[in-house]
Amino acid sequence: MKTRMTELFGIKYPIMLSGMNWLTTPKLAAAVCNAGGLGVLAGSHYDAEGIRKAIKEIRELTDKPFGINLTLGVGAQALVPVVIEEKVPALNYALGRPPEIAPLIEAVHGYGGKVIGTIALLRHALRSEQLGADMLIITGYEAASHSGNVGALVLVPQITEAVKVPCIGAGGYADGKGLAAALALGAEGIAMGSRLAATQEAEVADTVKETWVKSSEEDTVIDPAFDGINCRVLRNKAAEDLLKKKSLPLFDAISAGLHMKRTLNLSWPELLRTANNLRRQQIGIGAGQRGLASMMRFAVGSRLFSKATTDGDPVNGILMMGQTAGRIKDIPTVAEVIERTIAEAEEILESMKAKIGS
Amino acid sequence: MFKTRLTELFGIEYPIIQGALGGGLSPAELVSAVSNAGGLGTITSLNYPTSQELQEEIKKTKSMTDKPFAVNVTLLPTMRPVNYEEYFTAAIEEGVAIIETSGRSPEPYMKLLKDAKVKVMHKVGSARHAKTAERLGVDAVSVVSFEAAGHPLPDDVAASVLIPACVDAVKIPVIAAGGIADARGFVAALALGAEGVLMGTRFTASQECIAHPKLKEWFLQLGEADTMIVHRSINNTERVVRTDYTQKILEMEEKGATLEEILPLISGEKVRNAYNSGDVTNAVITAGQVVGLIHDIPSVKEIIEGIISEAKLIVQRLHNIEIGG
Repeated sequence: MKTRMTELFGIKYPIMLSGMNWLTTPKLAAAVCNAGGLGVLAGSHYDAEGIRKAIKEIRELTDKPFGINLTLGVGAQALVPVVIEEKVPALNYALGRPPEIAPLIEAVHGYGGKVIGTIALLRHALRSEQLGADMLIITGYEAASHSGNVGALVLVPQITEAVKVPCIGAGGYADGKGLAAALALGAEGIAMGSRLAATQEAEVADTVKETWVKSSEEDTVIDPAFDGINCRVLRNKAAEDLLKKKSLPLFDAISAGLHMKRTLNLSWPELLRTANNLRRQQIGIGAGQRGLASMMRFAVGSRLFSKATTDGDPVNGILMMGQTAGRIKDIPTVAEVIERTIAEAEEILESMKAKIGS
Repeated sequence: MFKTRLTELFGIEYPIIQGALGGGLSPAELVSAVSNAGGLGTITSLNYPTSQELQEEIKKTKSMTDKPFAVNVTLLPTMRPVNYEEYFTAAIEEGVAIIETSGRSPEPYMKLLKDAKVKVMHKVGSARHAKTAERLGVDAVSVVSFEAAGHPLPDDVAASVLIPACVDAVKIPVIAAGGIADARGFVAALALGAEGVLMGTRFTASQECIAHPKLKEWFLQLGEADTMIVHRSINNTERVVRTDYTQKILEMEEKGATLEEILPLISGEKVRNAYNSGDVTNAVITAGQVVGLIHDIPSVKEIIEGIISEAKLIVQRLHNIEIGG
């Protein structure tokens, strides 16, 4: 099996586990690696010691390459030195500004690691390539969490024709149909989030896994109301409540801000810098509130995200969920997901030869 | 040789359909060019104020091609009352083999169409509507996703998820509409389970389309993020090019403008004038997100043959990947 993605990382299949805060754990990431894909652990909600421990755990569970995902610009900068010290094989950044991204890429390349940039807009793709990223993840409108406004069917060819680095698709992928489609569109592989989290190995409450199985593709909503940036989540009670509130009550905002300062281990200047960074992180058009208000949304969002995942409450918590949820009907093992995705994609490519000829 | 369930159903060479185009954009010249190139052209019946005029256009199309073509009847609310039955009857009398319905359930007309042995395709925006259409006896559904020009459903589901969801939901052939302008999207749509594709924006930027050359040139300048959805407030979601004019309409909607205030700004006459003059400053011009993938203005034949020949190259490239290794 050879695409530029499998060659870049020395892996068997062009399938990556999307780094998802609170959802990816060392066990899940390692399971993906051992099944032939690239397991990625989202690290932004850990502190420095926590992420070091998590990296050690992954290494105990697999000898294959893996990645760590960091959301820059919201406090994760403090974790960058640890990830570099630990020489993780792949570092996947999301958001962030060139002054943060450039030194990070240089440091990772310094020890022979690879850097993956997550992007949702053409201009960010071009910038990431220019800064030296080795691969890009193209986040379609379908995706859970943050994205722009363009669907994968258009965005993937648009970006793959404009950059030279290998790209993979994220958002909307749950099976071999999606993998075959992504390859046809010019991608070198896919990232799957919700699909690989709705598995036996995922260490998230059954209530959350059942939510993915039950939900249809029409059960999500994308809005800046949840964390200050356009973010796709399950349309549940908590989401409806936040959508109704045009501005956050002061008490909620302050208490959530303090909660975020504590969880992300931020100093006061860091907290303010985070607020300022968020002001500049405009993914989609019209996305995002401004300044402190945006940061407070992020803080309230963060607390509600962990309520859904860590506490297993997908009714009162906010659950990031992609339109892919409509494609998830069972809770198999990670290896089953990957094997059947590959088998289905192969079958489709065979039938395509009969249909189109070659 | 090229075979999908759609080519068999409609008796066409390639599973590529030219979508209905409002504002007078799909006359006999464009429709016959698509059909003559092996695809399926579509006459847009509501471009004609009376069923007699539609009938004339069908006659003209028949004189220009002996291949199958379709007639679209859009059942959306209009500014003037429309006797749809007259339009259907005109198409049937002229022996049109394929009729596309859209906008609302075709149920009231299904008996008329089935008795006339017409093949019916219906535009849907969700898996549940696809199921309903199948139950009503529709022969194929075209699935309009979030990316599409014209009127996507307000559920905002993107093609990568919506196509397989509809393919799973029904047994009749599914046509992907929205997000496709070239061979990459074409092969991807087939991989997702579609039996064919429907393209509007791509055919608008063709030599044979009668829109003013300035409008086509303008399309070439636009990027994938230069469209947006308006008219949510009046339950008639439409994907349009982002301009000062459409931005103003969106702001009016957000401030709670009434239908009466908005209607004069979005009239079909303004759209027609823009297509004829190439001046888009005072009109709502629809375009799909694929406008960002369109870099040239070829002939219809070049578009269709280009997709088929490049699709073969893509399949060859994918074959070389040896997925299972």
